[in-house]
Amino acid sequence: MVDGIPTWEEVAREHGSFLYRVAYRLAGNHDDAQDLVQEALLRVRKGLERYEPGSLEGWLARIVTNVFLDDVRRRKRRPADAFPDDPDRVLPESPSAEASSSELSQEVQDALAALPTEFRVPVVLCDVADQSYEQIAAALDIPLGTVRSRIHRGRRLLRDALTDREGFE
Amino acid sequence: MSPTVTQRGGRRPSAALGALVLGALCVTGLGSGADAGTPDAAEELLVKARKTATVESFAGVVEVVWLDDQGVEHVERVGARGADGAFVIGIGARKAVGDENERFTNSGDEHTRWKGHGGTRAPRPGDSWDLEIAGRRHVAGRSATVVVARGDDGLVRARFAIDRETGQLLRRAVLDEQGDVVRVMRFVSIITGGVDAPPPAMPGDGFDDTPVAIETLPSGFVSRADAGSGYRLLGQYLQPDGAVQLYYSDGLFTASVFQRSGRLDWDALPPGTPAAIDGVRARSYSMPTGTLVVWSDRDVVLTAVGDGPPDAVIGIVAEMSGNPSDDQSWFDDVTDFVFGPFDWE
Amino acid sequence: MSGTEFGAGEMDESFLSAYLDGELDAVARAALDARLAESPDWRAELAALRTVRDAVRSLPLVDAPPGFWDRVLAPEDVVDLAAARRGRVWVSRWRALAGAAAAAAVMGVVFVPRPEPVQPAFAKITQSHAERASLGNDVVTNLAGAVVPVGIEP
Repeated sequence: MVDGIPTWEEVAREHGSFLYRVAYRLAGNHDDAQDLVQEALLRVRKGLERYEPGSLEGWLARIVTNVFLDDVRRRKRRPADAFPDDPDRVLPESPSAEASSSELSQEVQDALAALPTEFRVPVVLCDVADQSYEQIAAALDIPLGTVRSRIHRGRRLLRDALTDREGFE
Repeated sequence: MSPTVTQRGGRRPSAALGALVLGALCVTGLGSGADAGTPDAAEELLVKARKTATVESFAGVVEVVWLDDQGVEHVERVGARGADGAFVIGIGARKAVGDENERFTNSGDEHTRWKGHGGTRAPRPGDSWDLEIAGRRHVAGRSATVVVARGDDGLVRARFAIDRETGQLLRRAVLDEQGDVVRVMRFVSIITGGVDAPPPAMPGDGFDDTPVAIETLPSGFVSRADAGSGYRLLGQYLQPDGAVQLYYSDGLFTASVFQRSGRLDWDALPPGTPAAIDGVRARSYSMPTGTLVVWSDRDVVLTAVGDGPPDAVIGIVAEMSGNPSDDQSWFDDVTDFVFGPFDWE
Repeated sequence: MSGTEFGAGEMDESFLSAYLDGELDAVARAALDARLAESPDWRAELAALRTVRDAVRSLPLVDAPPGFWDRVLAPEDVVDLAAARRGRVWVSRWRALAGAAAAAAVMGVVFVPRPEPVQPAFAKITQSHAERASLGNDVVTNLAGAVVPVGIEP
């Protein structure tokens, strides 16, 4: 790290999981998430000189979101998940509560992936990337009030999608 | 006998271990959402975890994952159970049993035994490592606190997952200097509490083959109070077969250096990975328990084994081997060079 | 986020999400508290939104598939210094041996008595170390590896 500016490798090693997490929740599958992360890291590499020390994760969230939105605009989406999950996570585990929890997570993920992009992006930035409304507004170049209403509408759509699930509410 | 130069290179972790590496990245990137644990808190968790499995009752299945010398991944599973201070790991002819002060292990053809250790107290885990609580994860369906250990270079070299409820160590991953996971022990299922104590399976008192602590080494053997990076000598032992064992710990990992009189027959060794460590001819092996390195110093055969990162064990070898150019006598060098190509001794 | 752009009576339900996220200033928050106190429907809506938000926030951490970070971080032009160091050591060693051989050739064939060959017993060594290490350390992680088949015994 020089003058508070990390190297590209440091960004990838230290913040790669954050980047991947946001990318996966935006894209909804591993294939696209990998593409997003690789493209985002390329942009990080090119843009590091312009990075001003501050919220690195906010900056990364903004970059990966822009990559995602560019991708949506180009409509070059690839087929869904072709990779297995981390085997560490799919090994048989004993308590049934885990299975139930995992099932719920998948339903939430499915509902999130089904949200229209305009609602999914602010919800992911808020609840996965932990960004403030002001940061989201800056990242998406939309007014603060629009951020608020899109997050709210996104959550209501999620609620509608999940309400039928037994025990969710 | 001619020296063979075979270097490790281009080894990449296979699928499952690659995923485990990602776990390390995941841990380092937990950021603001993770617990902000202090180094002291992390150390306390590790210190407590040293003893928990012999205090709490548990039963489960442990998975041992390691890369061999060809970079091939191996996965083995063993049962483990403990209660009332007694434990059993494995089954049938492959089994380790013990209680608070005694151990008996049978791996099929070989058996070994310890009674007490007569050594000095181990260092604290934080003496040689920067420790950090790096969040939580689920291991075998249980919520665990993740503790990472970083070396002086800031790289994560080990990751521990400790059960939040009991404090038991559920998972240990060791990483090499490239950040690749080389070895993992983890519970894949476990229940705690309400487990019956395993039946006693120690051999009788007539089975007298335990190592004994010694103050002075037999002539021809060498010892160092410190070795490698932060390893401290905690005990010296004489094995039943006449070998001397030096036992070291850096507070987080352990290593032993065994010495035995004789000449090392390199050609009879399994292939392993031929190497030179600071000019000393050696051969290393990646084992489920850790890294093992064999070398010789004149008429003594030395074997180091440690459960830490491979380079930590190599560091011990480099320090123990002392004089880089003197692992064989001048006459040995000559005969090796002249007759080695004809494989005649 | 400021709530002063709207009067309390102009608040719509989207302010509930901002309320949950701590994005309202004190004035807007007080106005919304008052609204919540008088409206069971708004309280129910708030509870439902909180459930949804918490469900998203508690989604498990997702890791990239195996090998992904290896590919991303693959060092294309990094030299393995340790291997290079070993290489240099062996080169210098061979040079030394060559010099010694020349001397041997001058002296004639040399007979060197040697001690008996011994082989380290890997299983005993690893077991004994694991046992000693387990005295004072976690028994499971120290001993589990000692009872699994290895297949490299001499």
